[in-house]
Amino acid sequence: MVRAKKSKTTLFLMELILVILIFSIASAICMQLFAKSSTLTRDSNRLDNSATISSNIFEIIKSNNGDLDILKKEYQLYDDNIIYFDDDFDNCNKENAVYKMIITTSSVKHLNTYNLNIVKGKDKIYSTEYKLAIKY
Amino acid sequence: MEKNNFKINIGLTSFLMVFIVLCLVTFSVLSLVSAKNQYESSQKSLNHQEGYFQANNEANVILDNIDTILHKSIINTNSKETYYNNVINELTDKNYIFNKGQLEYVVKISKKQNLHVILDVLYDSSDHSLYNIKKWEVENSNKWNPNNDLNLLQ
Repeated sequence: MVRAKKSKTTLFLMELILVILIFSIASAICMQLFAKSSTLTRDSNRLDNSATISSNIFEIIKSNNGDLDILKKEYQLYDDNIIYFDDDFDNCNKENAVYKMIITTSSVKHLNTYNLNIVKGKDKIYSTEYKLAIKY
Repeated sequence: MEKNNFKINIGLTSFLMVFIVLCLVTFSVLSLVSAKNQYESSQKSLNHQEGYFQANNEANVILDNIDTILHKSIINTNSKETYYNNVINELTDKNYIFNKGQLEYVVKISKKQNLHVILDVLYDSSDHSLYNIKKWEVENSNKWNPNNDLNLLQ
């Protein structure tokens, strides 16, 4: 009887080891999938927000015939035409910033070009170029 | 004699493991599929927006050229007719349509969409501007063909 009980315990132990092994492999794969989906969601949110903010800013500039000063009414515009955003892409001050939008302008005769770059640290998130013809 | 009530259920852990692993796999695959769809949707929307703004940039470059032409044409003109004739002469090689004081051009956004621009060419306007943007509109380039196979009650 003792022998039968001993063999049952060994079997249970073997099963438990196998279960833990399979579970750890499966959960490792699943965790990678969860991590990948989390990264994809974060990237798509960033893209959506960056594109929306960039087009908003361009439309504001366009409404003022290309003058960047109008942005001061809507956003906290720092020197060198930099606007800071927090994690939710709300405009914020430099200290709480996560993302930074750098606006560079150039003009050839009466055609202004605006380059809008959104960066996080050193990583470039989104970059776009807008052109605007200014009346003579 | 003391009886030991503790029983080892062989197989129960395996069943439990199968259930938990199935749940994990299902939820992780579902979240990945949903995230991928969201990413593809935002990429599509971004491409659409970039297409529009590229056409917008192109239209602004054309507008700048037109403004230069209008500026060149208005110098040394003393009547509206002379001015319009000068504009027509300057625009001969270009794909712009000039008719009755209106200048029209189209920029392609995609296979299905165009950016249609119409400008009112002004002469002697109060604010000294040479044109007014009358239309700056995205239009569908292919026609809608309704399916009229079914005889519906009208």
